[in-house]
Amino acid sequence: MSTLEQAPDGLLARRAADGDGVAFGVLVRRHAPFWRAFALRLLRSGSDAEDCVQEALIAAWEQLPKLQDPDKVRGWITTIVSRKATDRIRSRRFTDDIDDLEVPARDMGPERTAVQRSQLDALGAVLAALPEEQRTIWLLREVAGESYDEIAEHLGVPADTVRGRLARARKTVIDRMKDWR
Amino acid sequence: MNDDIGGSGYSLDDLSAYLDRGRTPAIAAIDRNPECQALLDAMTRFGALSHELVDRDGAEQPPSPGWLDGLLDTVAQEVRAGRDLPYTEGLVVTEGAVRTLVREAGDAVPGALVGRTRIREEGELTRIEIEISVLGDRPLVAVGDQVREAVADALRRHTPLGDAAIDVTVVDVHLADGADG
Repeated sequence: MSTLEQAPDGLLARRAADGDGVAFGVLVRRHAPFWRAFALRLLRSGSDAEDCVQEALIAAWEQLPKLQDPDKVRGWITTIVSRKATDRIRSRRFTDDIDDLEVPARDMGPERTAVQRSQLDALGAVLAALPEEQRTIWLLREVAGESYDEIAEHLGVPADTVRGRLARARKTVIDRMKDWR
Repeated sequence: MNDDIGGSGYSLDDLSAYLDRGRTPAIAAIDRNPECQALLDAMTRFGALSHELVDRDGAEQPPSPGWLDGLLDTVAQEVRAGRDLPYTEGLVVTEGAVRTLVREAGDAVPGALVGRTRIREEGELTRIEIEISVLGDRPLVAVGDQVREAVADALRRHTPLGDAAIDVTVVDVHLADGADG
């Protein structure tokens, strides 16, 4: 017998849109690690990241019947996560100073070579050291695949500002990663 | 930032924007310049690696099961019951309940997974449209027929919809090892 764990994302999303909470649960368990990690890179606080993913998933559950292409549900929810995260970044910008960066564990995964692993570690460190405004735009562009206009709308800045900050982030990343090029 | 990359007449800012436009319309001075190409390749590669980095974060620092369970409980409290389908005196079946029954009956057929379901009223007739995905090595038509019979049987036994018309459409094929990721 086929189980829902074997089902492609699109089928789970269509069932969830029909009100199937079990299918939504399978979908969430499949991708929640990615969404939480994405929110954590944006917000640098584990509790904020989890709250943000929870808000995003509740919104996603409500809006699923309106999703045009259920096969792209992972990217669609990633965009909702980024919207919830940028809302938080904007609201806390002048109120507090989050500095509890939780660095991911470094234990060696069997499927990657040491070189790939160190390259990812290096990139992670470079991204973490970027100014927040640049890091946020980098993550929205490169991980969530958002356009300049979408990013501009999320952050409440002009699209030209997005373009300029992304170029600066790219220059910094390329300079600091030059040993890996 | 307004440096001229490799004598191309274009700056890193320009290259960054060019990349995000999908390198269209094509600019020959960039496309034929090795230094520009190397920078564009580096931007592309570190962008893709960022996605990989977040995937790795998620795999190595998975969310706690307790948080996921609580999250899904919260969502489950909002499950849509759907509209009421009125039948004979005093008996009301919610659309959500019928869909759940259809999914359970269809999923119980070996090699079948039910996707989207639609319930339509056509005058006196109720028509139930069911999309299914079939496991890769199974005969599509036979599995579709079995789903139709299983659903008809369940409706006869548990609802007043025993004479509903049932349309089964195979919309997808899934693999035994599941998840398209």
